[in-house]
Amino acid sequence: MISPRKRIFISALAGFFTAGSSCAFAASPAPGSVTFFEEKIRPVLAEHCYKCHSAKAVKLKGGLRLDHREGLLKGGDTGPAIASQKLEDSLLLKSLRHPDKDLLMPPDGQLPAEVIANFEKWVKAGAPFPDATASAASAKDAKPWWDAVAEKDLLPADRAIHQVVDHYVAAKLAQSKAKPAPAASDANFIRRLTLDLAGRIPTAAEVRAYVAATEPDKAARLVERLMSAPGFVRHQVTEFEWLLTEGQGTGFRDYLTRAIGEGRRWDRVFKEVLTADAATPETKGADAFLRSRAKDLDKLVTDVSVRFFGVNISCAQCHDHPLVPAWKQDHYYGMKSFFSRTFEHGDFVSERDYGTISFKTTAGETKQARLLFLSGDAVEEPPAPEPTEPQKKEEKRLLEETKKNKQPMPAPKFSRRAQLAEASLKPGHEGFFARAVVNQVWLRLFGHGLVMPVDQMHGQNTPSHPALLQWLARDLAQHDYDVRRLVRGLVQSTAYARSSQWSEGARPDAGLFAVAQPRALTPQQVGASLQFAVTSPDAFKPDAMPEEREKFIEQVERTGQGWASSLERPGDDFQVGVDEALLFSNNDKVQRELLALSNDRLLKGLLDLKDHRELASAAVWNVLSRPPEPRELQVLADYLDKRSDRPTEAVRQVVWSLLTSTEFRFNH
Amino acid sequence: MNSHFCGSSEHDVSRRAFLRTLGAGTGLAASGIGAVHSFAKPALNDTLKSSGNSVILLWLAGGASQLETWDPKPGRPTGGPFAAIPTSVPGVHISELMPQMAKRMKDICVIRGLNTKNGDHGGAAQLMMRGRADEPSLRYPDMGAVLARELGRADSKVPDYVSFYAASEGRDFSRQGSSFLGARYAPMKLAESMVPPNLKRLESISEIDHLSRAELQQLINNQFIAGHGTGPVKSHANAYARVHGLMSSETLFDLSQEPAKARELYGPTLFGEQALMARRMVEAGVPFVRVSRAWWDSHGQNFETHQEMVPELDRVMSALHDDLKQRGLLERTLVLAVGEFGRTPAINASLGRDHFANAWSAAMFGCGLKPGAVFGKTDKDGQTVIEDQVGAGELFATVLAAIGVNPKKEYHVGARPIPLVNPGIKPITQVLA
Amino acid sequence: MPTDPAKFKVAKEVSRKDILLCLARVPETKRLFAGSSDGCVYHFDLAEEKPEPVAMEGHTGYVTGVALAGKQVVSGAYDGQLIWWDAESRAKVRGFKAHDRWIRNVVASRDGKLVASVADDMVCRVWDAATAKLKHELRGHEPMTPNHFSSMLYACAFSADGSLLATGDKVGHVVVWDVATGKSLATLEVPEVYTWDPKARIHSIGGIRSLAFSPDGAQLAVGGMGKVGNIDHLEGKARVEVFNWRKAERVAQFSGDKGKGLITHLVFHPQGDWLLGAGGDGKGLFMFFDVASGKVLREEAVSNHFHKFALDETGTRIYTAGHNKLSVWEAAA
Repeated sequence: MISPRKRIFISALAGFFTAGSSCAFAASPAPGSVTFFEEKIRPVLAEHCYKCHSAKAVKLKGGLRLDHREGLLKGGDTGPAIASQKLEDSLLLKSLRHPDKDLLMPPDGQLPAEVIANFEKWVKAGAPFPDATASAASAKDAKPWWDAVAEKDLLPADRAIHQVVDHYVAAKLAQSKAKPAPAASDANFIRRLTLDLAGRIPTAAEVRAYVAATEPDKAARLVERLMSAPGFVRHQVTEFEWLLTEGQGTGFRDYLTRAIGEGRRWDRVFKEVLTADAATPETKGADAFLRSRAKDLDKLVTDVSVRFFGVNISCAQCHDHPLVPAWKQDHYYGMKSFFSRTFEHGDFVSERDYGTISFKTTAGETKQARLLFLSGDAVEEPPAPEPTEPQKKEEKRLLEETKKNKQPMPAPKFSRRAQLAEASLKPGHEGFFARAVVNQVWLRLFGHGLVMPVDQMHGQNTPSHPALLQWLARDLAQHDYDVRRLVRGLVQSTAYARSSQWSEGARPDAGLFAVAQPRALTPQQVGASLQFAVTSPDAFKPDAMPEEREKFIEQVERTGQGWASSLERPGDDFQVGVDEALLFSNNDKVQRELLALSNDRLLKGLLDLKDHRELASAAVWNVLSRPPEPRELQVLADYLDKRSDRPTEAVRQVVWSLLTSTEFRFNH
Repeated sequence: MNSHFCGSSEHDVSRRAFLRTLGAGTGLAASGIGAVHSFAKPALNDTLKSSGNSVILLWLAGGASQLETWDPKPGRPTGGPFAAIPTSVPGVHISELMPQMAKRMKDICVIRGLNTKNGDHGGAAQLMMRGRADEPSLRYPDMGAVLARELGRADSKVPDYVSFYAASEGRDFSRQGSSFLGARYAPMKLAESMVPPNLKRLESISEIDHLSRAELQQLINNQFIAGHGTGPVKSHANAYARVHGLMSSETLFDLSQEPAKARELYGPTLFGEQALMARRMVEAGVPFVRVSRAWWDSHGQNFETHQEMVPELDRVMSALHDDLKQRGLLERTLVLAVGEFGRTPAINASLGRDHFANAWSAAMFGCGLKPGAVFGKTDKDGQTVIEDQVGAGELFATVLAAIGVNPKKEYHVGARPIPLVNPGIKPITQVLA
Repeated sequence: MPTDPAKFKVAKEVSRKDILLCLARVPETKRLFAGSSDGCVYHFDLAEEKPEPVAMEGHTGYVTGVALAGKQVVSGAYDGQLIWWDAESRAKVRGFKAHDRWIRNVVASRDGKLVASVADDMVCRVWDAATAKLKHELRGHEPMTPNHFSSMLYACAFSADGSLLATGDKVGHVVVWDVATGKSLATLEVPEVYTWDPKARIHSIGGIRSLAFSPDGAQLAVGGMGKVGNIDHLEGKARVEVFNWRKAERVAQFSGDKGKGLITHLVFHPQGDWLLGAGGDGKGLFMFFDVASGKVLREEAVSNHFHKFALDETGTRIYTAGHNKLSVWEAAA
């Protein structure tokens, strides 16, 4: 048996390679990939085999070298380690499996079953062995995955987004032999789309109309309808606000509403947030992002890197990453240098003309940091000498004066922060930015990013669909960073419209997008949807003017927001807490707000329906946004029948069971 | 009164008897709600060793002074005005502010060599609660969540992790959380009220209807869950499945159920009441209870503050000790008293002490510990640790090992294994039984 | 002492590593006895160019009270002991456990015949200064606060003629005693100086830290710190209230404007028309109060925190014992 200490070491090493993944949905590399080898094979060889079977061995055992491909093929005294004719019979595998006492490898104890299984997978995939030498230094030269995706191999740029999505998703599905789920039903689809584009469930009337519609392009029309409604902007603002500031920072929401409402290009939004000119009315509030972080520059650097570039490089603060070449201390401090002159000044965020940072490497030397973007590109800057004494005095005076007059400091002649925006958007170098936006939007709509975890978009973490991500990033950059356009394209794909139901055996890997992911509603979606669910269908006045209707919709949404504060925002591997179940089971709020009997409420209308089956059906349509199934109709009607002595209570309980159902709670 | 040692039949009998007093089981058997499908079963290994054990954490929020409690330095310039008194362990002295604990010292373990290097309330609280600093992309679950998972039972009718924090100061520093272990092991937090919210069935619905309604919801859910069985989806059903069990634990939080004698033992203060609550919970099988006594941050008037608060701690801790012992619970309960850091040996001009994490103390007693053990030594002025220095990780590992949980056990986040304590961190064997 | 000293400055400073918590001055001299955090009583002769302190060992724990009674010095400390010393030879005459708990102050009547000590056993004991015989045990203070925590008895003061004694505790309760009979004559409540925080920190701070009778004995000044939000620091306004104690009527109240912290010592001017209080938070504070007009005449913030002070006969010189320092101040017109 491997000693516990060794097991921990292997695990720690393996864990290290996934660079601190916090997400349960880590992308599983294919057994033939370099990633698979680097993560699952090489470390085991290094730990358990190289002591005797490598260039470093004090005494080479059995004449067998396992630290390069030739060694594997040539083998040692007992023969080749890999039998290229019949891979399953390879000696390497036999020795790991331990059928023969003389062939036990490693000699101090058999490897765990999962590890042996990985070796089997690897050998069966042809035992690919990178040409580089066995040391970790080879990994340092490993190229980022995007370099391996040739631009000329991508689908042409003039293709429609949804077609491209379907093309690449289908290609991978075909490779994996997984069968995709069928398309979601109409009712299911409009519910999903309304939640994703308007942050609420559709009304029963909206569902019925969509189900009944016969136009062949009804889905596209629905997308247009939802994206032109004001609710679309509101919902996008909510989602991006959460992504960027988690609701903190006054004025930011207003800024985003203006920016997204106008359809401002996303690269411009990025620049505005970074350079934070609080003075102009167009960008008022944009500085909230910086302001809430200016006190802690390390947090600022990490947040910008994660939220705008999908890269969490905070571990590189202390040491280079052994396998990810782009995560050296140089890069961390290079990124930090873009912000090192930024400081909080009263109500504003200002920037100095001077100042460099230095850091201590793990080797103990002190290095001066220079402006270095994640791509490894250095940014030239003019020399910035330390200010002279009179200059310092003047600066101090200016600081006091501007603070007293509640003004910002004058902008520096050379703004390091503005340089970050420039460097990250330079043509040919905009990959980080573009890919990050694409991945975040994809994650939101599909429940699983093309790269997971979403803050590990570095060169050694290969996406599930590398070409697709590159194509979408290129498309975004070439179309003015129009996020709206991206959203429109994604929701029109077949992949997006798949059913989320899977009843035969284990669900396929989320990264195949063979079946849609159930996604827990955000607190805002819950709040809005609860309100829509319990509002009487009549209250929506389908004949009213669109503006009036829209106003009403906004009002209903807002009424529901009280519920949002009681709920947690879903993160990776979200679990519903028992607090929520207790809240809905026993809190008076449910009774008072959701199950009230006022005229505009669902309950009132339901009580007028004497036929229990009709009642149950109406309840299901309104709450679950779909027609009831015969079985559940029967169950619900029976429940009502048994309680004919207390009809109001019975109806309340039926509606409660639907409102608190798992189906309601998820976007599926 | 026989000793109710772990695994003895007397132990189980007395525990069942207590549970009966909670009124558990009313209507539940009749309702037909079956066993909860446990979402994540604790590993079979070590379950037998640790199941039924509990931890009570007396969280000394704000940072209590080690010099006015477990590691006094009378007569030194840093010693302050209070004397040290001998205890029932020869050669071991503690502050004169803790005469009751001094008498019981034979049962107590003290760690005097804590050096945790973090003097910031939030960061230090996080460090002590989780046994390690978070990584930028990974938040670790805290002690309560880990023990809730390891010691709790999937079908438990009592909460797994209860946390009291009545004062308002520092409440947000409390840094509790189950992180990747999920909401299932999140603490049940009681702040303003001693009773969890939403435990009581509303008057407007009868008990029968309450249960039937829940059953109806379950029936409706079954179809959906069958075709959409992901982790988050299943957690929703699990959360609702636990509702009635937890509702029946409402009486657990009703202190009037305790006789006057018990309440007198703990004293009339809020901290005392909550410690008594903690005993009730542990007796009913709650695996982890944290009672926070905030707020010890005596930057000014350190001696007046400690003169007021340490005797309360002395009384409450002694009451817990005696009460648990008398009920045969001491062998399966571990009580730990610690804060986020200690206080400076240097005395400032307001006669206060400031934050200090370089040489401070924690004390514990109960399950799995070697009674009377003192580990770690500080210099004559309490400025540095001169012998047997330990950090947050070692303390965490020690609590785990004492309570019967293997610190080397691993969770998995995706493909990444996460050991319960960082590699290289070992429990302090010198204080383990 | 001028009513409103225009100048107030430090004349001499002796730096210390310890905290000087109390002091007593030998009349007509510049000699002082000061109680220290290191358990010693120190004798200083500030007439010397470089005063050499002489340590008088005997206590363990902070020496919080020292009083001159005739030819003897009496000190009290956290060890609960009272020690008598010869004022000239500085030799220890006697020492014994006078209280079960920590002694907070020791004062002597002006004629030097009586000594009073207060401690956290909530008892004030009155002793014959010459023989150390116990004359009275004055019990008038509750051992527990209304919030169920142990209380402290911080302050006591004799009237000028020695016939009255006042005691004041943590929760703001004052008792005025008849010295001859040991009976309680009156009680006063000063709740403003006690801050109990039930919400944020669930403990308390403050208390009555100083007491002083007016020269005619009719008024009693009470000193402490006003209500404060954050009880982790002494950031409340310094507070003094003056009562006509016989009528239980408050005649004046003073709240520091700039001055924050405790008033740990109060002294009436011999003419009785104004009052001097000292203390502070982490820094030091002198306040001059005019009782008749109810106004704060002057607030003087200084760098080091004071615990006790002594006025000399001219009234222009103040000796202070405080955190890491013994100082002499000159107040002149």
